[in-house]
Amino acid sequence: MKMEPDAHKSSPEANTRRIFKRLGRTIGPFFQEKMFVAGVIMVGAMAFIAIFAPWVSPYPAQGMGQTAVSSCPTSAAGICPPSLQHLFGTEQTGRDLMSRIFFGIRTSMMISVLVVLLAVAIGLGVGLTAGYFGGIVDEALMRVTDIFLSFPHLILALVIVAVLGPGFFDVLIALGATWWPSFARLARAQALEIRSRPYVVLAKASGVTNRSILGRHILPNAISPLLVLISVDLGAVVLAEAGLSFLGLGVRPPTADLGVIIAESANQITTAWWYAFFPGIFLTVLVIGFNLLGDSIRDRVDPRLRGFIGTPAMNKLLRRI
Amino acid sequence: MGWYVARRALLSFFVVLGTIVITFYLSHLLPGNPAALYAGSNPSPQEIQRITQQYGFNQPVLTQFWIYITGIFKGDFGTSRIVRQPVSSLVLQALPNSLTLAAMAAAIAGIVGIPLGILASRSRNSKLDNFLRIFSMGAVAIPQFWSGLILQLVFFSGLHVFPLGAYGGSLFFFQQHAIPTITGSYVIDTLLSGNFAAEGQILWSLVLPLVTLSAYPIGVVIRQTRASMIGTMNQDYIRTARAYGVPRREIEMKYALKNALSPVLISLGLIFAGSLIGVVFVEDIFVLQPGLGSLIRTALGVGTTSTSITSPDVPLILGVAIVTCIVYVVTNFAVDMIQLMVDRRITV
Amino acid sequence: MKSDGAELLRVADLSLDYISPQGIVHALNGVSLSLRRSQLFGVVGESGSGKSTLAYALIRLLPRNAVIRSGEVIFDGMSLLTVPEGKLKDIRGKRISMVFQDPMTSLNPLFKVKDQIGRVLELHRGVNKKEATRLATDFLKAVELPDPEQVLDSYPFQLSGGMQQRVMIAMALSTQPDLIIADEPTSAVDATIQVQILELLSRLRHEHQFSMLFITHSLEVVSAVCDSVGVMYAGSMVETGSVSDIFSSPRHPYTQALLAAIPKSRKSASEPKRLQSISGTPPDLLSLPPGCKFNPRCPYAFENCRTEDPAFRQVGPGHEVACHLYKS
Repeated sequence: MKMEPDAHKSSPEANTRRIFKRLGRTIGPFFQEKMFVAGVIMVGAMAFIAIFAPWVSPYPAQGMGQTAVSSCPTSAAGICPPSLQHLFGTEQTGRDLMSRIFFGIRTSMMISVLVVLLAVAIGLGVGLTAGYFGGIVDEALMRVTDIFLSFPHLILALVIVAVLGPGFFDVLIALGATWWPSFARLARAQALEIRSRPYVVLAKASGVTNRSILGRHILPNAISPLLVLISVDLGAVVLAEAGLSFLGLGVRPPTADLGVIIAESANQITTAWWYAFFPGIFLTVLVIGFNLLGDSIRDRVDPRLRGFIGTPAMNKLLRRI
Repeated sequence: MGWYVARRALLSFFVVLGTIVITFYLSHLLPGNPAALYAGSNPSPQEIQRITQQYGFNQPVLTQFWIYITGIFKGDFGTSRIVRQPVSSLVLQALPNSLTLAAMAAAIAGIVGIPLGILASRSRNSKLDNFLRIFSMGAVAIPQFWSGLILQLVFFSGLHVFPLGAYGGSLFFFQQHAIPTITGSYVIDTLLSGNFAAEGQILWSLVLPLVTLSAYPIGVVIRQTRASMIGTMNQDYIRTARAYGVPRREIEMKYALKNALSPVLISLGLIFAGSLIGVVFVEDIFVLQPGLGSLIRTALGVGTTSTSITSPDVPLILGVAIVTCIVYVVTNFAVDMIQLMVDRRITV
Repeated sequence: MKSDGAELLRVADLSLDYISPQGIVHALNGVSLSLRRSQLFGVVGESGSGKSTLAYALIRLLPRNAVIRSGEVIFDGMSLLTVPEGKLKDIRGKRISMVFQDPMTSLNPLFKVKDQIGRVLELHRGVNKKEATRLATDFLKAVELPDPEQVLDSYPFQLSGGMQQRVMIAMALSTQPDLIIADEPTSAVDATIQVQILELLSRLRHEHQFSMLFITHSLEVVSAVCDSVGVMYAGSMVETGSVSDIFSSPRHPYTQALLAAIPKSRKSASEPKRLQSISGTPPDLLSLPPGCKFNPRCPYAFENCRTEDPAFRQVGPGHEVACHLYKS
């Protein structure tokens, strides 16, 4: 193996260079997979829209809530079909649908990222503690986790938002409370496996504190399976958040939200197809993007031969024989 | 083995208890006046007084909990503020229809998804396999409350094929056809009463809702079956079968399938219970009453175009939540028991 | 039964590659051997030497990423590598059966023993279910399983490792094949059971007159049961011959090193300890060295060894070696 240049240096620049090189070596092979690239493109496009919504939307003010006077002659309610001025048409208060959708993407992505961060934080805390310490701590924490897991999908979130009232932070808490258990389970399984590894046993025997072991050995090694779950859950939370706001339990107006737009469109589905069509497409693409990322990460972690037979890579090697 | 079953049953019971504790906390112990929460918007002082009396909000916490939990075990979930009927009777009326829909969706997911999954596993990375993988990926990502609307758009207003909603296409179908109430589920009762024409109409009206509802489960089942089959076909005992000249089809359909299918069937059970929220969406969009969907809609205060909730019907929502939890836990338990019976290897 | 001495199986210069994400793995590089009727031929080698691959290649039981580059496998006049799939099914299990290394995983956990052996009998002996069960009982008795009815009615995981392996052997015997290929049949069981299984196999062979290809990593096992031996290294057959020839006068440096490496028991604690290992490590099958595969570790290697792959040459009656040290 080649010696890295400046391997002896430990200056900040050399360290950063080393980290980037290792990062490049880990991420680089990913780009050979079509799934990963597709996922990155989809999520990247959505993230771009989310971040730069005010600059990318044709009518940013309407996107942020300002109502407008409808300009279309046909519909009385202010809902206009797609036109040159409004590429996706307008919605029921006359606002440009495209701008509303773009700002809605911003809401979706923001909430899903925050929710997953919250869920990972809580889940890691609970799961690693349970798995590492074992015994009665493990039993107790796992019972609590089981209880949270026995609420059918979204029912708990529904109850929490119904009780707390709709709003950004309430939705955050509700979804965070729903999603942390699956991370806890995974983290616990990881902790159980890692704590029996020789270097951890050694560290414990040498008197290293539990906190230090958890932080330096258990945590970094537990991360990679979590990545798959994070990616998939990002998509699931997007759907859940949209579902809640569809029912009226989401963020409060005038914040744009894709679920709300779809809910509004339900009554005029037969007359205004664009109203429901476009927000749903964006939602679906975002979720597919997250799922593609999650799948490609999982393929990487699993035994690689599974997906190898029949692929172009294999055929290339076959031709060499 | 009997001990194991008893232990699991006890655990399930304890878990249900835990969910009740959580709902109790959310409804009684959050900062603010719970009576106000129960009373809705702009309550009069008399209202607050009455509700405080009815639910015992002025009692010490443990007494409140005792009232709450004994109420639940007696079947008393409080009274719906909006509909002014006992929550338990409302939920009992809505549950059979919703459970039937969930069961039908799970069945469809199995009938459609398992063969497709097997097909995909046979020809890995072929065009068919890639198509199925993309298809299942899309099926899993599409929001159910949206796909229902789009299907309505395409098939009802576009092609004029299926009705827009409601059982049998009309909100008064049940009464019109004078179908006796046996189980409470329209689909089952119509069948049991022998009225096949009406049953046909009901099933016809359920095509779009079931397509919407089963899309996600089908996607999940395809992927799971495919993965499970591929994993099983790699096992040593399959190699033994091949070494002894057993025909390929027989290996696949008999020896591999039995091993591969058990995780899939288990997850079908979980899909059934987990699709209850999907049922809520679908019943809402397709106006399938009575059902948990319309119940939740009612509880949230307004009609389908609600964009903001001001005063949810807390007893009703809690009732739905607790009952669906019980369904979920019972289903999990049943699935565990079935697994125990099928796979003799599990020793307890 | 046909007479001894007739050649039953001949492998000529078989080469096989596995295509993996890491590259092309050269698992078999020009393997040759000859097996006669009623002969017990042992194939010895380290892990990665290709012995299991050889066993599976004979009946084309290979994963989809395996490619046979060249060579022939002639079984009773038939070329097994080119025979169509349909004909191969008649040979697999009926004329050539296999005993696998790990009986726990090689038997289907969700089917009872009688279903598994029974199906094999139905397929290859043309009997109905009842007759199949009766025959199965006979064969289970032949492998010294007490209470065959109980075993038949059990699931594999309910049996001990030794019992499972006997079931596998019974299954292999039941079709009355010409050749049984055993892939390390004793590696997964305890030492005491190992001896019993070996004794059983020896006895059965004399009773039922089949040939056996016995894959193993243990030279002691080979010396105990086999008539002939083939030594494999890095996908090639380096030496073949009778057990007495190989053990008394091993010619290939690798064979010699293997024999020298067998731990010998000391007569008393005062004797000096002697443990002789082979220097170096087994080669990486992704990138094999040119010439003789053993040359990096061979104490006698010279110039030619590094460039030219040695051919199989006779050095005595029935004794062949692939080494530049020996010119025929």
